[in-house]
Amino acid sequence: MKKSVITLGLILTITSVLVSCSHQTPGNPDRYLASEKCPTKGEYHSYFDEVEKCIDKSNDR
Amino acid sequence: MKKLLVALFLVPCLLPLKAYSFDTSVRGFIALDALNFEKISGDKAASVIGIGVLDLKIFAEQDDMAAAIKLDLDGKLEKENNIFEEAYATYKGVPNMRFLLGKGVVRFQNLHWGAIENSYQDGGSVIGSDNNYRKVSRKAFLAVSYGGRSLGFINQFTIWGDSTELYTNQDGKLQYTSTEPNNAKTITAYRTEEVTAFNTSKQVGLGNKLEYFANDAWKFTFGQLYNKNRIQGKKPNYAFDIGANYESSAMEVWVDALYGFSSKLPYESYTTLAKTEYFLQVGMEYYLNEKWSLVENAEALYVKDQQHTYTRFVEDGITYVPTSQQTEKSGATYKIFTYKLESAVKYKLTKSAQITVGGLYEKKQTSRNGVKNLAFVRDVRNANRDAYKLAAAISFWF
Repeated sequence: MKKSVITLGLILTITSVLVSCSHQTPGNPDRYLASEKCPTKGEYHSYFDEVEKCIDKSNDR
Repeated sequence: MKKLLVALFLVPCLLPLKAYSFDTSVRGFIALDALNFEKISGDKAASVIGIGVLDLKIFAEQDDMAAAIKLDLDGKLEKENNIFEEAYATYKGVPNMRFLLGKGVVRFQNLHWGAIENSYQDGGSVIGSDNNYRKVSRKAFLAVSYGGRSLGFINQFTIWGDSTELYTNQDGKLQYTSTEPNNAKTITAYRTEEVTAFNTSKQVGLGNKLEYFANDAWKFTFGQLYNKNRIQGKKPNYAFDIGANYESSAMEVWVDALYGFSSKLPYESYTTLAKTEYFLQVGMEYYLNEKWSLVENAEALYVKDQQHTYTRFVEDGITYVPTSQQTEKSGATYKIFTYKLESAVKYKLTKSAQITVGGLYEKKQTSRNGVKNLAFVRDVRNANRDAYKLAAAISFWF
């Protein structure tokens, strides 16, 4: 029984990952490019906020 | 076995109907103290090598929903759930509005790193600062923000609560952690409990931050914080913050000023009957060229701290007596002035890595009931001392 649960869990995980990956649309890579284009200076307190705003903007497009 | 086979067959067939694509992004900020040299007057000088800050933030998003989890890996991890500095979900379905729910930072300050060290408002001090108003993080919160850069402003309003609550029994009485060295008990703390959601019948916190973008270069911030714990005897705590940032291709300037009042019960950690504090930070980074820049930062902190009065008392038939430490500070008024001056040179190694080399001078002056230059003041670390620090740090963000 335990073995079956583990096997099922493993299959579910692999299937989820494969399905999610296969559903990536061509538009998505732009988001990552947009994040990289956003200038994020190395200031500790503003860094993550800048990243978050950058991701927001790329979503708005 | 038969059921398993059926499941194996069904899962790949049915899952695509429920699965959607999602995007995630993992970002991090690491600052390594490559070689620090610290000297506090009266103590031996020491070199410090290690991790300054190490934070990871994971962003996940799908349609109008987003989630973020920030792991504070350099923090004190022995406390329950302390690794999660932030964990919240955001709904972005209404134009220019954001609804946030979860655990995280209550925004009201204009926080900025100094030159070689963090701001007093985030614990950056060689000598030890005595301010109660630090970065308000790890709080359960519900927030609404409205605005955007294009509108010229962003306002975020937050309702929040502490993730640690004072434990009360069925009668609503606080429970003590006490020791019994002789015949009478002494109280060392209150019993507390970690909560994942706060109860407004016990406590409520409000926070607001308005960011006003005057033009491409100037940004002004106005923040307020209010916190009321409904346990009997607790006064409301509040703070106001005003900040400004200037940014151009030649330089960046940051300013932050804070006034705060706080009060705690007698046996809480960092207790005070009434503490008023004034904080000012002014700094600038001047870009010499694409690779090199100069950073200057100055901070001043004035704290007036009225201590509780500790006496013998009887509760529920038990006699409690104050400890010698509590007696020593009973009813005293401390006035503490701390300042630091920092200067550094930054060299940009790559687009997202830099090395910073610089120095810091810091001084603390403390008086107890008007008496100055005391060598020791109870609960004030390095009461009348100065310190300096030389630092070389490597920062990397990704």
